[in-house]
Amino acid sequence: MNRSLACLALALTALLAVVRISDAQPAPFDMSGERPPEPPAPPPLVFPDLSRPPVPQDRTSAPQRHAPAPSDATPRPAADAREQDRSRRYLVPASDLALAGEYDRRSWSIYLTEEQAASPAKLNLQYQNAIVVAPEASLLTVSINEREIVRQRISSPNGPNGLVVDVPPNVLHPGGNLVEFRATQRHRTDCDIRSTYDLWTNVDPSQTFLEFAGIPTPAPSVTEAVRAVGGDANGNTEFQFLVPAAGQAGPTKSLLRLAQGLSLLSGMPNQLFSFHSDRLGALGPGKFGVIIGTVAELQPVFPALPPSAGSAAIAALVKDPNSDEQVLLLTGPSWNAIGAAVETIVAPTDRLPEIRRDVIATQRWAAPDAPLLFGGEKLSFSQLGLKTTEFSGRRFRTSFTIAVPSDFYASAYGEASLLIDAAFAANVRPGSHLDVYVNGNVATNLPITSDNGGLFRHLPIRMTLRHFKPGLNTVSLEAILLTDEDDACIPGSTASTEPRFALFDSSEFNMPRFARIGRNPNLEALSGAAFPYSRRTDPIMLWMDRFDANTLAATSTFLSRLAFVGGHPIAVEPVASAGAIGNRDALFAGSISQIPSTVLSQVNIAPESVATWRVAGAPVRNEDTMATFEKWRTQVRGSIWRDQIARFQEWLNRNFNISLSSLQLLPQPEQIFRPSSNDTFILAQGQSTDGNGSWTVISARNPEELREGTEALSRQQNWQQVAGRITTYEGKTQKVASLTASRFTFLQTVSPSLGNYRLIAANWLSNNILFYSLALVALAVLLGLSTAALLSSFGRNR
Amino acid sequence: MRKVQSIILWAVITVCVIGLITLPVNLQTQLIASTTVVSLMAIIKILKAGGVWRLIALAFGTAIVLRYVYWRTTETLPPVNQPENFIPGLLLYLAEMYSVMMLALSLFIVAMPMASRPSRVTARKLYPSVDVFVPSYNEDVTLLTNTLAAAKAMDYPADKLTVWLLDDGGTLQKQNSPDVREAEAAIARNQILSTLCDKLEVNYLTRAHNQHAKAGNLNNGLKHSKGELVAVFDADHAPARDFLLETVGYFADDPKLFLVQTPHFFINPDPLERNLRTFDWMPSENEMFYGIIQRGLDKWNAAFFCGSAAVLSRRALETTEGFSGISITEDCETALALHSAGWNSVYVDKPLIAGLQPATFASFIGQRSRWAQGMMQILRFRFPLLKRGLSFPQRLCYMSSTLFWLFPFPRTIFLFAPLFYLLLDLQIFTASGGEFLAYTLAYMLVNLMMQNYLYGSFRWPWISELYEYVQTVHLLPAVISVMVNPRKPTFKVTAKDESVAVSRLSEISRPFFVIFAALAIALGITVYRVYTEPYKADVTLVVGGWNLLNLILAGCALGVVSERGEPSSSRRVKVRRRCEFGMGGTWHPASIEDVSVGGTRLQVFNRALSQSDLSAEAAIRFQPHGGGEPAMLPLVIRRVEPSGDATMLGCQYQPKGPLDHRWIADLIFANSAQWAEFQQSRRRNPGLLRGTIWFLGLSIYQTHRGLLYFLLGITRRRDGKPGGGNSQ
Repeated sequence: MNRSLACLALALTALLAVVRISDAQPAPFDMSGERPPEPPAPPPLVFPDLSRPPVPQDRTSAPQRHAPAPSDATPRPAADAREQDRSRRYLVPASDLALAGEYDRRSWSIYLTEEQAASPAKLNLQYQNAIVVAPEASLLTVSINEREIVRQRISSPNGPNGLVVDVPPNVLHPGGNLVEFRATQRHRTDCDIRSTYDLWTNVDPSQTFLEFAGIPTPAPSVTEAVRAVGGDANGNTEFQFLVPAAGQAGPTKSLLRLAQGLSLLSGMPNQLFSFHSDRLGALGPGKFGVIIGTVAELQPVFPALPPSAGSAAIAALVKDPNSDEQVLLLTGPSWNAIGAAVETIVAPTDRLPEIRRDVIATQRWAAPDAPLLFGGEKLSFSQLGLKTTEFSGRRFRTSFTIAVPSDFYASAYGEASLLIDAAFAANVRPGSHLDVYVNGNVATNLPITSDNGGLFRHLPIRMTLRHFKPGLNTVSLEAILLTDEDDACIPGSTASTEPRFALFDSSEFNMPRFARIGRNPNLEALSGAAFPYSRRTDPIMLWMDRFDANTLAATSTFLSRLAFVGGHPIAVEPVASAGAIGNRDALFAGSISQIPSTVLSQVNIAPESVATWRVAGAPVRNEDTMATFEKWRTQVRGSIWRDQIARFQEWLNRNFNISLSSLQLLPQPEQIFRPSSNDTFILAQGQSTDGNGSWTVISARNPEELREGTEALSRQQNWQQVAGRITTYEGKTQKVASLTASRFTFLQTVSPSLGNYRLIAANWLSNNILFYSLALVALAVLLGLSTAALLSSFGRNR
Repeated sequence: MRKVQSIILWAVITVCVIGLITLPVNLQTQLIASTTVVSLMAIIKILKAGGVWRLIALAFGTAIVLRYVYWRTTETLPPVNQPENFIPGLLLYLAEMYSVMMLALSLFIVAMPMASRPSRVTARKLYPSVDVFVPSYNEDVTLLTNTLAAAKAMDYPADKLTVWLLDDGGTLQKQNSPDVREAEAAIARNQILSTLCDKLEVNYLTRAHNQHAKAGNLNNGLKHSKGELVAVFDADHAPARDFLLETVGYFADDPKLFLVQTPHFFINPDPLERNLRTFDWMPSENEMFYGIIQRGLDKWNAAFFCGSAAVLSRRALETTEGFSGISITEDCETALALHSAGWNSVYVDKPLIAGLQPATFASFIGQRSRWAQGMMQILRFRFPLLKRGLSFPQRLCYMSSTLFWLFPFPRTIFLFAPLFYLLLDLQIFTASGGEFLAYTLAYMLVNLMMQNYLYGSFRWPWISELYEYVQTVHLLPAVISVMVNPRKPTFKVTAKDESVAVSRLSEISRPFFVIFAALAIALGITVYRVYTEPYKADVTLVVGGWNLLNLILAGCALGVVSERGEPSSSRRVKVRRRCEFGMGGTWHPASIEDVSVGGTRLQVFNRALSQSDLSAEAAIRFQPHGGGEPAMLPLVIRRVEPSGDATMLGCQYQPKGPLDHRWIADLIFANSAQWAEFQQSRRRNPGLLRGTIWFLGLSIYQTHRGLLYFLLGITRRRDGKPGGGNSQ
């Protein structure tokens, strides 16, 4: 019932949009500066169906729910739908948005062009919530630029519920616009902590968008257009390249550089690149077309080239006659000239590796940008994007994001501190606590022990840095508040708005100075900050199995991701043969069968997997074997003695996180990795043969899986899980798994200083526990001996 | 050259050790490291490995202590913006750092103490002239007679030995006192002692005014005598015959020597030993000082003068115009002055005198107050660290000796710190349970192990803590007062010849009961809070455990302040010596079983004695240690116990004149070997574990005894009988 109503509403809005568009004057191209005159309108062309949809099956189905799929039978309605689609700006930069618990808040920014910001807009929102959410006490608000646009009781338990509201004028402005979703939810009946985990509101990204009135006017410049690209209904951002010359090695360098530049400009979390040789796929919100090639190459597929293209490089936004969409045209008499045109777009994103970033750009999916901490910083919660909050429920959770550099090496010993400014009311019982999580792992907790309420003023809590990794880290604070009222749980008591807890934004996060040294292999540093490639001034060697669309897409997607986390485009030098690489840094992309076996052995992948994985795959790895073994060990009753030892081990492990393996003196040799048949994609890192270079391999059984794997792994939520020395992806289950590195080499990243070496030693010794004891014992023995020598040569002796 | 090399090597290794120790490694690493080091230390200790292993064990301990200090400094202090936590937290921190500093100083001193020097008795060829000074103020005549007789009996050429009684109790100032009673007493004393000295062939010297107390008295002695060397004995310190032979020779070896100090050996127990009944089998308190610390000081040429049982060089004393008298501990001050003038000292680790120490708790505290105040005065007026002329090790040694007396402050803080948490709920030490285990527990274990390793046979576990605690209660105000008014304290002579006839509480025992009650209440609160506040039970248990430790000490202290009544006024010393027992003109073979300053126990053969012989007059004949004519000493029989064919007799001396005291002194004091033997018999190391268990048992018993005395005292007072507070 609801659903059909929603469809009806949508159909109506779609109709309205069409009417308005027809009323509006079609906006001409904005001709600025160096851009060529408007190309003559191309003849309408009808294309046959693409053999393969441009995006995976599950994603394409989504937009069809609200808009009829463009059908090839009647071009006109298809154009309408596209028009309607084009006036949308999807808000959520992810495939889902779940607001969970009693209090949840997400904010990010969307980039709007001047024209978008100026035009009247409506906000469409659709969500569904858990049935236990009490509508009278639960509230969903959506704000844009701190202006509340939607404020609604959460009451859509039976199915998705949509609403459309006008965005008041002057709320939107050109450039970044801060969007905030906030949910306050209370349970209908229960008052315990556990019940708060049942509270959720799911916002449907495909039905949550800004809709601008009128035909969207083209962006005034290429940069503006790329920045405003946004995401599609699934939160993806796709750059489609029409490259007739694809398949040749020559243009690769320019293509990869352009891809990285576009990635950096758009700043979107889930980007992917696709390459086409004859025509572009369907475009729309979150999809950006690029047509690139020499005049000669483009002539057959894009006849409407500006005349000047034959003599000079062109980088301009033009209307693609095929799709009627604005696309980026890069052409010139030769690829050298095109390279120059690419530079006009990409050059502004260049940054010298020596120049330190102070933030890592995350604002397109989590505002504000994550500050990049190098040690010694003090940041107040307000700087981290948190606001002073009063809270009347029982479980309060809030998060912020900070980033640490790729050479962060303090996870074993380091401790940061939080200076908490908070208050809790007298009815909050002792036994309540404030927990701090880092990337989902408990880092510390602060018990509340007072009976009479309390006020913390810059109360220091030390938190371990164990769960920090290079790149982005999410720190969450969770207050668990126990009260007698909740124990009694009188009906309606959950709706109480009397604050129990307050967290003030004057609280601070203090990052101490920490050890900094790079390691290889270390995929966390690669995924966090493109280490070590982002620090190189020389281009890194790129070896590609072949230059087909899939491999090119995979390489572009992967490199753009690296450029994005690294903060600047990474110079690459495609090489034809692996032998030419020597010991330099290199990236290898291709099917497993084509990867040189020396490279495989350097990244500890079994060379025979070339054959086994391709055919049937190694037997499925049973990752739970160890767990099952452990479980059985506890089931088997041993001798009392063995029992005691086991119990002691368990106690040590539980309380101090010490196990027998942490007491080994020499690191275990790396296990040779054999991909299982479930794995569809491998990302692996190792050292070059002499240990000086860092080699990264992306590989799969075939080019399709390579592209799909790269696309999947590059999505923000998966990319965050890239770690260790090998990360694998299972296409079927969409599972990401990692193998930790036990041996690695160190790479000097900062100028040598005693202070840094000291901290590095602290971390290394904290990882290699026994060495510390040994060193301490050895030095103490030496001290004893030298003291004996000293004492016998000083003072009186017999 | 070798010295420079060893300094450089040591410095490099030390820098490495400090570098390693100040690495901020994680808790797991610390836990494993401390477990390893503690185990290795325990192994070294169990194997009783000596020599270089001793220093290695100490280095292990130092490493753990420094880890603790690093952690304590960097991670455990409460935030400054919580003054209610920060201020007590900082005080506790400072108290701990004081303890660590004292540990460091004592490690420096006793890391490699001097071995005992070989006996010099037979090596003598030259005999410089010696003046023996026995300063006296108000001591009993019998006591003085024994001391003077013993001094006179020392083995030394008679023409080179002059004994002086320096009497400050019969000065003109006192004889002319406006207080008639005091004047009369002074005049009488003057006369009695003059006669005594005449008979003993000892010089009697007094002076016009009692200026500068003991130092002034000794300086007066210096003025009137001219021997090359000066031996000083307190009035109650009787020397053995070999005293001079063992000490004087060192002055010929080293012309810059100003002092040869020997240990003070006491034949009576101090109040703690008496009330806890540990005198006969536990090493005395001062054995740690004389048995090891003075030897350690000796290594650094910093053994200092302890007021008695020492020989000094007149030449040296003349350079500083005699004994210094700014502080009330003139002995240490004099040594400091001479050390800084470039003179040397030697310590002879052999008991050569036997003396008395305060018998009641109150006079014990009085004595310690004087020491503490005097050392504070030295710290204030002669700050040793910056004193010109001292070598660096000497500076450290003197700093250690003086700073030691600040212990009442940390002791008080350790006593009350747990109460801040238990009663006031303040967080003055921020650490988790795991950190307590890995750092604090390891630190405490290492501390106990190092103490036991260094001083094990001289000081049993927890006894130092007990001594410090019982002194702290009354010393804290004394030390504060001298800090406020550094010139105020005056020299007070410690009474040592008191005895306790009736079991009673000491007159200054009340604070101990108040503290005990407070700690006991805190223990109750601990239990209550563990049950009512389970979410912080771990911290409560740790702090409660600490409080329990304090309670155990405080309970034991209740026993210390409960004075046991003792029938015998003086201590008996076991001897085995042949003699002849004479009664009614016949002489029988007999042996002397034990002696005291008042009498002796004899075993008489071939003579049946019965109760009818009680109060009969008799005499014994024996060969004195110095040789010569057999000595004859008159006695009165006080007890008769037949045992087989012999009879045990309890006799009281009946000296006919001062000269007979020579024989009493010969019986008790002449043989220095017996003191050393007695000390050796007590020097056993019970080990950390057994010692701790023993102490726990002792404490439980003493708590019970203290509380019993307390209740008895109340009942007695209610009955109108004289209760606590009467001293006899």
